[in-house]
Amino acid sequence: MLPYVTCAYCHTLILRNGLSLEEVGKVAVLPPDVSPIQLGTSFRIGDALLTVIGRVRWGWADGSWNEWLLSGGDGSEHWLGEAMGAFMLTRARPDLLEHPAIAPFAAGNGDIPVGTRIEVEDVTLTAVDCKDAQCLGSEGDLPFATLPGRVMASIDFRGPDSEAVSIQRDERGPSAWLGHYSELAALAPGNLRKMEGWTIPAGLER
Amino acid sequence: MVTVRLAIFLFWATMILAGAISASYYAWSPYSDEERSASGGRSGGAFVRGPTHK
Amino acid sequence: MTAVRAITCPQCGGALEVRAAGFSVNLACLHCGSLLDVSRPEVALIEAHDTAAARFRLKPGMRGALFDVEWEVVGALRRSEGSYRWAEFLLFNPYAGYRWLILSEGEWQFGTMLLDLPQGDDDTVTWRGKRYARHEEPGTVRITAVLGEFYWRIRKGDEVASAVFERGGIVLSREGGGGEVNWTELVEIDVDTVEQAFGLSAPKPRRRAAAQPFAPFAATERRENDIPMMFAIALGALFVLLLAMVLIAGPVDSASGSVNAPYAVTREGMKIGTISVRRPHQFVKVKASAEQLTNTWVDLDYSLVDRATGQSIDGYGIVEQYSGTDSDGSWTEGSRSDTTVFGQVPRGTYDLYVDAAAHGWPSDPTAAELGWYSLPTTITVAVRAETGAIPWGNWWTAAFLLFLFPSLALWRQMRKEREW
Repeated sequence: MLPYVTCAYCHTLILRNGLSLEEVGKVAVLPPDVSPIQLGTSFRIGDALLTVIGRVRWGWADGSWNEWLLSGGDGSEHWLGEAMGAFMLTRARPDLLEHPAIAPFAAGNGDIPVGTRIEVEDVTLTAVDCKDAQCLGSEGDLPFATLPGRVMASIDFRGPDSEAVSIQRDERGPSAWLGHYSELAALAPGNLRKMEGWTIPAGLER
Repeated sequence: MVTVRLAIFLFWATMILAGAISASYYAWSPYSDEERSASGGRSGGAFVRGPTHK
Repeated sequence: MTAVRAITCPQCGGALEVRAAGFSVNLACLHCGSLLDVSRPEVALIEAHDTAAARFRLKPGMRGALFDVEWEVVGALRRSEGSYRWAEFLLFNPYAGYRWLILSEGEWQFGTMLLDLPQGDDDTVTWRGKRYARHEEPGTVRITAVLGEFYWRIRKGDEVASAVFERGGIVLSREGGGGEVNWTELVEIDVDTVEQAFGLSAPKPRRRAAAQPFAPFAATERRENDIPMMFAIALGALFVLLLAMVLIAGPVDSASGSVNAPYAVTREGMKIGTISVRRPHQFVKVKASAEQLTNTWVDLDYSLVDRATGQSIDGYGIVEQYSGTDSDGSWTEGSRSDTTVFGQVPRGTYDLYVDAAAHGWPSDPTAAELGWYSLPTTITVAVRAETGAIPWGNWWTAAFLLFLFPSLALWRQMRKEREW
């Protein structure tokens, strides 16, 4: 059970503390977007069925993106980043924080400039994106509080074969994520959000 | 690659060049003065000139 | 849940729709062209414009199905690399993401951004196990016009490094340098397919379509732009013509002298000198100039008399100078020197005779005036005759005709581009 949940009606962020509920504050109303994902959307990745249980929307100087929290039912945390119509599915890889190129950033000092290369499991990844983001709102169940003003630094690495590494640093500390960039169709989605004026392309949903 | 348009232009340029060179050879020019122009009117047997200034 | 976010342009007040809400960062107003920031709930003006939005073949809001997916045009760009220009359209489907349609000289390409990046250097790259060779020199691509919405910060005048690689009809386009590099796969798409999909009325039939049913990478090949070549040829031809004219003009022989032109009467038959035309035909130029000349004109009648035949070739010249004062202040008019060109002067030896008469303005001075005032009684005109003159009028005419052709071609091309 994740500690935080955002009330879909009153936008109150609630902290579950044992059996008691504690009101933490109001989260920002999510700005409208045309994401095909909604709470309850599921993906089949290999044998696993991952279901969307929460979302955080982050904004930075040049735009914004969604991070969808996926639950596999086994307690593992997966995040699906959604930006520019493409997706990045990752899961936590805390060991990457000890990588010599990443450790100083993880320790809270130093930046990782765009173009920095790292080796992960014999794959060379290049830093393509370094930005400071600010929480714009949230919905559903989340592992951390998403009050307005929450900030984080995020660095994305890309590999030649769609490999993705994302390093994030916020007040809770650093975290590292490993995964792949993909298109929506490759994630075998189900229960996608229906949007007025658009039909879900045939064969997209499993 | 030579486009059709470029080929036409090459032909055009060749014609102009040939025309201008042969005009030079025969010392012909549409601008050589032969006749006194009518810009100064003839009045009483002599050309009357003067400023066109208004 | 409606998929469109309605906003109002803060510059012109026009109603706009954000079609890819949540993704779009910038929007160029369809009404006034102003650039807006639509990434936040409050719409902010980035750059105000009040000119009518650029015209594009596809307009934001148009929908069409390509490759079994329905796409909505959300943005349009006009870009250029050197003198080469084309249009790009950003397509969006919330379930399929973004795609590109590229329109270049009537040919369409469909672009998909790559998630798996080609590896290699500036000459060849490998993508999905196949090698792609670079096509053309890398260049710099510039945005010349924007319309609609985009998922990144965009601005007219933005420049990006570009390189194009190809293999068997598939083009990989690389844009950007340093850290941020975007790869796009481009495939040829039939004109009719695009026009039917987006319900476009077919434009005027293109002659090329029949002659060239399949042009593999017409668009990215930067289809041979012959206009700079034409300008270069025109310039080269003019230079060659100049050299030829100087060479043909032939030997120069000159004679000079002067005549004293009396007021009101014509002094006739004054000999200036003798010149020889040593080629079958030459131009002869006669230049007259008077240093002291005020409110006076001098009529000069030239006769080039062939010594052998006694035949005369006649011409005329005039030197004049006037001045005065009116409500706008003082003015002067006229030219103290005049050049007369005789064409087609045959080989031979010629004596140049001049008849000269000076006239005062507004009237000839009286004898008394000539006597009492400092007016000279005659006007001295220096005359110089020269064979082997160069007919500059011919050269300028050739220059005009040579540049007319590529200039018209350029004008036509620019007009055609505006239609996209």
